[in-house]
Amino acid sequence: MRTADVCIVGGGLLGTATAYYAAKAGLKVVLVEERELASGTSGVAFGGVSLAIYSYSAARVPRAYVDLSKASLALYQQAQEELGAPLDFDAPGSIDPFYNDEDSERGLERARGLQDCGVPCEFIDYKQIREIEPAVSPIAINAIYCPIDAHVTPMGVVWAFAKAARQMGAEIRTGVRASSLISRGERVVGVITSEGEIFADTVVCASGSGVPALAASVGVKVPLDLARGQMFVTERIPPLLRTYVHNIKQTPAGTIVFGTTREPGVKDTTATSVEGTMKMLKWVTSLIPALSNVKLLRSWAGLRLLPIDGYPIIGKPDGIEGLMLAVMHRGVTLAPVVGSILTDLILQGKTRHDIGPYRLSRFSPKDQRGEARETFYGN
Amino acid sequence: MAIEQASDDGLRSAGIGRGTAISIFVDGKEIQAFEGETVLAVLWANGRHTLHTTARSHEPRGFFCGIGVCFDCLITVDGIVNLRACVEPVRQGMEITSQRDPGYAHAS
Amino acid sequence: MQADVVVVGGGPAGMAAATAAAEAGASVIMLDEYPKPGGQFFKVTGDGFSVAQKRMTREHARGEVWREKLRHLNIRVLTRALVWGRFDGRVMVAHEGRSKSISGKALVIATGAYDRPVAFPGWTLPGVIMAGGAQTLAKSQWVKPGQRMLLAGAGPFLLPVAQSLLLAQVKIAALVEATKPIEWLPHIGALWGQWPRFSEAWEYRRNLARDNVPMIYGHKIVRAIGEDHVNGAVIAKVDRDWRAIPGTERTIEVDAIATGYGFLANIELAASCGCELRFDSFARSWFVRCSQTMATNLSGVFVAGEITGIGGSALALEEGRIAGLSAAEFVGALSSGDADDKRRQPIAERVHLDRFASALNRLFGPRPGLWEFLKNGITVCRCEEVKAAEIEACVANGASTNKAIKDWTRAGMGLCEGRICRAMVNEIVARERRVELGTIPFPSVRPPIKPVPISTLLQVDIQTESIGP
Repeated sequence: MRTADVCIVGGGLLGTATAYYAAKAGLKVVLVEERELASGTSGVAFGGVSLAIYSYSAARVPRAYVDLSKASLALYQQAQEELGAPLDFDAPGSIDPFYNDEDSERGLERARGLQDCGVPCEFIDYKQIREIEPAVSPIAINAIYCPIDAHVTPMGVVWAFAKAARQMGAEIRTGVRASSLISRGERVVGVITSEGEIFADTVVCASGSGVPALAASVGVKVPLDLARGQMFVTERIPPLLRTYVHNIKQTPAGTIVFGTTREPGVKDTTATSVEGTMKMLKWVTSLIPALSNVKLLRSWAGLRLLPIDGYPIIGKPDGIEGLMLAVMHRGVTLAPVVGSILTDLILQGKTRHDIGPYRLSRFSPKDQRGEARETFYGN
Repeated sequence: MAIEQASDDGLRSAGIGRGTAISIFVDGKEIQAFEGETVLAVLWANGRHTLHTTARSHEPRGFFCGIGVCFDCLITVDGIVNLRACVEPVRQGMEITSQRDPGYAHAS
Repeated sequence: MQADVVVVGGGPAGMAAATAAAEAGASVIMLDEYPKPGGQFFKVTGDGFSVAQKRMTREHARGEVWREKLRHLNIRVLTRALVWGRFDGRVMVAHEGRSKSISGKALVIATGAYDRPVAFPGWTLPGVIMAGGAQTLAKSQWVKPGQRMLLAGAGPFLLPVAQSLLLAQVKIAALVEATKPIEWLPHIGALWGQWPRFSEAWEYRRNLARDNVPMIYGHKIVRAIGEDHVNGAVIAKVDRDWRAIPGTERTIEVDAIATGYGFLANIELAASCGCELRFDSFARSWFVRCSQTMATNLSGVFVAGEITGIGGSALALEEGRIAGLSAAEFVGALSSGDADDKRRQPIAERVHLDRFASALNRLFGPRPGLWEFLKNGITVCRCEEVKAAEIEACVANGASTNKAIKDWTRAGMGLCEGRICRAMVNEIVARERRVELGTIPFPSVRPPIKPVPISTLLQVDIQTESIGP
């Protein structure tokens, strides 16, 4: 039998970031991951650490959300200094293009909302886009340009957090499957794993698409949408993109990484499809025509997830002690701040960040079906 | 139209009939080649054994597997980077550049 | 495009499979990456060359016979055709700047093998090459990889390479074999009755003797010397595990070095289709698992040749024949009874040849000393220039799979997709974690199987939706 202050389930961005901040705060941490680190959703993440690009259309830009993203960006900068190169952290800015008047109108509204929240972004036209990114074609009529947006190599971040956590005493165990939570009354006290029980004062569920099943073992229902996403990478090419354009970026190694498709309702979540591939290739080459001559090197796929209202689920569910949830679509952007928030909650029972809107209890009971549903989620 | 060709740089095997003589350009210099040859064969026979230098440490590289697997005989042809010399046939007038591999812009 | 049987790979196994299926009445399309079918074994001199008969090896003539068969049977052959993936039963091919989808009722995968890469100090220098590439440059382009070469490796496959180099007028300074003849004796039982292969080897051996090629047994290459090109090779005596014995080094002046320490199978396409793999502990590498009739775990997908286990061309031809017959049976061109009858003889022959192949694998398969240079600053991943020390550090940090090493160090992320470094990365992981090599899974492979220009992928003959990220 193992005991720990914190047992984290899930070896992706959120799990390893939490392990890092918790270990740094002196907590005894055990992290269990069913497969290999970054083998789930983190492995199909694009890597944007963005204040301006959203995966869903928010009518209004919520200040609390922007504040969390800003705090996370600052933590990445700090982590880059502490953890070094593997993060590949770079802040070249982002361009989120719009292709028709209707989109542009919504984009303008979003840009204003972001500016109101203190994000130094601009709503720009094609001529301005061209000045920043000459490779972009005129199919982009307008864009939101956010000069402080950053990107990272998600898998590098996971490994860097895991390494640092381990150096500070965290135990990180891969190939260990968490099957259910152990509860005593209204309190979670541990996890049953494929290699025995682990008892802990706090259990953090950060296993992405695996969270609903795990939480359900103590009667907590987490409503998630799931879809398959495909990512793509090209050969290394000479410098072409400085910023990242929506979900297209040039890595420090020189490769172009882009994605992701959204394919709901598929059975094999790690297989790629020819339709998804062609659709994505058509889009990238219409937006960045110079990519036509570039060789595609690899594609890969995995499950991507989104709480059904688009916003994260962070912290303790009502009515149960010893359990923390960390489930969100934009895990790359938010991992450091979520890791530090959970650490604060574990140590002090409170956080200086406003996570009120991100409680699980915001969902009505009918949303809390306790199982992941697979549907299309919009852009 | 086979031409009996004496070896140049001694690496073209002597006594072999080769295809029609054509010209290719390697780093701006005109070089004779024969139809049916690969770019690798022409470069190697002409003593150009450093086909590219690597992106990170700028090491010289030649060819390694020679059968299209290793992607270590990279060259630029008519502006397109990262082509394999070992499987690329020669064409009249093609322009070959021995490339410094793209990437790792931040590397020292 | 469609056919009853699609054969991927135009080497001995692929040609035999295509021929057998076509003879049984099935329509066949064969896809091959090279300019002409023949594979590495029946490698052909390029178009435009004219070569005196006395400088051609017998494989050339044998290859012509097979190519003539393909023509005679009206088998549709797409050359310079790269199969980049298979989706829902459709084989996707990059060919002449376009992407074509080919549907077949049955698929035969016969994608062959390439030389096993082995790192040693200096192995990235221009002039250090693998045996198959040396042979290809000499045999199909009549260009000498070097004026004076060293061949180092293990096993009989170096003999035909030496032969091709001699025919191209290369001076071979030495052929360095890691095993010693005395080690062969215990295997003589398994080799009994394999006379055609003995006489072949004997003939090669005699040719080398005639050209005064020194054979050095019980040695291996330990270093390539040179600044920007090889100008010398250091060899050393090895112990039974092929570890270099200190103090036994000697330098040989050469301008090129070719290594041939066995082969790795091109199983990427089969793996991406979902074929079940098997690990061979003697060859220390992965192959596709198949039945006696060359069937895989996937219905309608058959395999043949080196991807089922390294065995040479004679075995590949028999396996190709069996696979072709099984594919013909699967598509209904042959009754099961007829297929069984026709397969009987090649299956028996395969068992016989497999005994020989297994003995060679046990005798010449890689031994631990071959990996002794995989440490410190030696480059393991040539594409991304990743050193052994970086991989060791990654393992120390908990990485246990090829994928993890790739994510963390970029080893295997380059243009060759890990074909060159993967086996060595896994040797490091196994050594550092003290686990059996076979417990480290072969990584998942997703299309494209090899890099393809996006413009080629997009010139596709199937309908897909347009626009939108």
